[in-house]
Amino acid sequence: MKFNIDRRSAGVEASRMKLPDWAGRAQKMLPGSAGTVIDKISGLDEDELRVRGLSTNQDSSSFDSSGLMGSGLYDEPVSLDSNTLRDWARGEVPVEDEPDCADWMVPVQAQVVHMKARANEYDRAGSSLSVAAGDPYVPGVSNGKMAFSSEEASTIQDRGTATIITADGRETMSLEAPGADTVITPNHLGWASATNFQEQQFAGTVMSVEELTNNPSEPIGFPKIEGNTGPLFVGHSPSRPSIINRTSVGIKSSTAQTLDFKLRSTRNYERVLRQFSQDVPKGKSTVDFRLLAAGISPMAMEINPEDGTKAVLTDYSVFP
Amino acid sequence: MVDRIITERVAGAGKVLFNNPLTKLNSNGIRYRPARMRLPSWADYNVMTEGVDDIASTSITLEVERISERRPLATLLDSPLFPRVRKEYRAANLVEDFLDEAPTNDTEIVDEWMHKAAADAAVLSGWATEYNRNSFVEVDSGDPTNPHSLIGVDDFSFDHEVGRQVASRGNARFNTPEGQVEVNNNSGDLLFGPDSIGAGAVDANSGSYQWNGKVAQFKDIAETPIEEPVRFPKLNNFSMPNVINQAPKEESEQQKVSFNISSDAQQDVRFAFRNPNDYTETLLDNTMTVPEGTSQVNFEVAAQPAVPPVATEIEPLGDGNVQQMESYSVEAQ
Repeated sequence: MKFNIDRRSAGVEASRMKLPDWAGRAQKMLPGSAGTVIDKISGLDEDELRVRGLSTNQDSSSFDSSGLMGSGLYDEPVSLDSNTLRDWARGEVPVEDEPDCADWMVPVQAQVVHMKARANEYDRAGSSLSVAAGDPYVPGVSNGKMAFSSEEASTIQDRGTATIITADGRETMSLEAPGADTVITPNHLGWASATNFQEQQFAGTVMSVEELTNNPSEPIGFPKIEGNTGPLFVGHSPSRPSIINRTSVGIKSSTAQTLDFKLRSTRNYERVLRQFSQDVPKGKSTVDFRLLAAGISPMAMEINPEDGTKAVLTDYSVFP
Repeated sequence: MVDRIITERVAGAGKVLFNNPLTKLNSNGIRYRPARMRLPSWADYNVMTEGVDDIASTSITLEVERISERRPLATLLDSPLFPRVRKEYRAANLVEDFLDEAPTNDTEIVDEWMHKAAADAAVLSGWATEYNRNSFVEVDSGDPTNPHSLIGVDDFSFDHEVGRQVASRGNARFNTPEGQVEVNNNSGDLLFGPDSIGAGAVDANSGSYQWNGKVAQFKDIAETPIEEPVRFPKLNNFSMPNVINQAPKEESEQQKVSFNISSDAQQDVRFAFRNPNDYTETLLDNTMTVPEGTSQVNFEVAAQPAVPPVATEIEPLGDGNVQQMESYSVEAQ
């Protein structure tokens, strides 16, 4: 097995990607001019990686969340809808009857089951996603790869940002709060949200790719926390080196929207090799496109739905 | 017995050997992350089979020598979640600090469980930062009833139950990749599956709805040499053991192992070797007594055709006054 990055990179747990056997070996097998190696793709300029034939075909006009999973923690409704989950959590958390329970636990419990369900789907697709949710002030939120710095909600609201730190405490980054954003470093792919602010407590979620799922063929829901819809990261993994990749992305969307796609280098996830957008209608659709370059190797694909939408990635395929 | 060594080729690191893959499916088809040991480059099938068999039939003599005063808590690392909180290995000592900082107001900050959970999180996340310098353990603490915010650990979790039920029955139900087990109230367990290692600790009282669960999952076992302090978190009545990948750098039939340990008071410590091919099998089990202060522990171990890598379990017993491990090294003789 080959991987793009050491699991522990620069003292922090990395988001790694399984590479096909030919990666790195291909240079020896191909004419020198082909340059179809992972080194080459990392060195490509955006102009050299082209997207052609971008199209959307609607397969069905109705949106449903069939095929999604639950958290396994409770028998909560399987849904991407924040309101549905919050209503369920309101019935589960006895805020009125138990002095131990407080209002902030209701949205947090809804977020806990939502994020754990997405992790279960990502795991089912053959890989590993680490999530966490809770109150970042007390008792704190961490998924082992990143964490919220413990601060009172009012402090964060005054400043307008929450602080995300890598698990070893060495790096910090600001997250607009309330809000959500990707947390991407050269060796980490993730997303975080900060919502439901009270005086001291608030709801924080973190999501980190432990190992990218390559060309997944089973449905994975996009994370959605309140009005923030987060991205999914998948491995774009051709079966052999080629100058052209035909790619199909199956999407279910709760509404017509524009999806953003970013192809990232597997050597340095901060490096975006190509980005583009594509409209999809409500319901189930397939987005098709071709990638062309002197040589195309595995990449990390980030797919971003619009905020407030519910969406499911049903499959992602690459030929060859 | 082992029939495979996992070989990975990693960009920038070359060929790397492990005893387990990154993820596996359990008997219910659920994907989980095994506890992996990075094996030395010289490890082969014979060493991982005959060497492991041979070490199971051997014995070791642990020589304990006090070499200095107890190391100051300042040598530990900050909790990345709560860097403002003082360094500690005993969570109970931090509860008052959190009560002072975030007093109970019965609207947002409720009861004591939140303060206990924060104290547990401060100690556990500090320990994880120390342990994770060259390895990976995941930790979490919180209430498993509502909102069940213990999902920061992937594959070990408590069933959601009301705290008074847990206290009344005397245990909590704990889910592992191998299935469900019971963890007694006011205690904790380090649980070994054939290829997984995790820990759960329970703190519930009979009058409360909420309770405190603490969870850890060892994903990469800490590699030797260890040259900087790693604490032994003390969570209520449970002292979290450290698990070390005792991986000789060079192939040899005899290795000298040396580690330093610092303790608040005289304390018994359990020391065991676990089979790297099946962690449920204890290859060798010893107990030693360390005095107050910092002690150096030395022993020699021999095996044919070579001393294999093993998972070493170091568990403070009794009152769990052992503060930290200072170092751990293996040297070919």
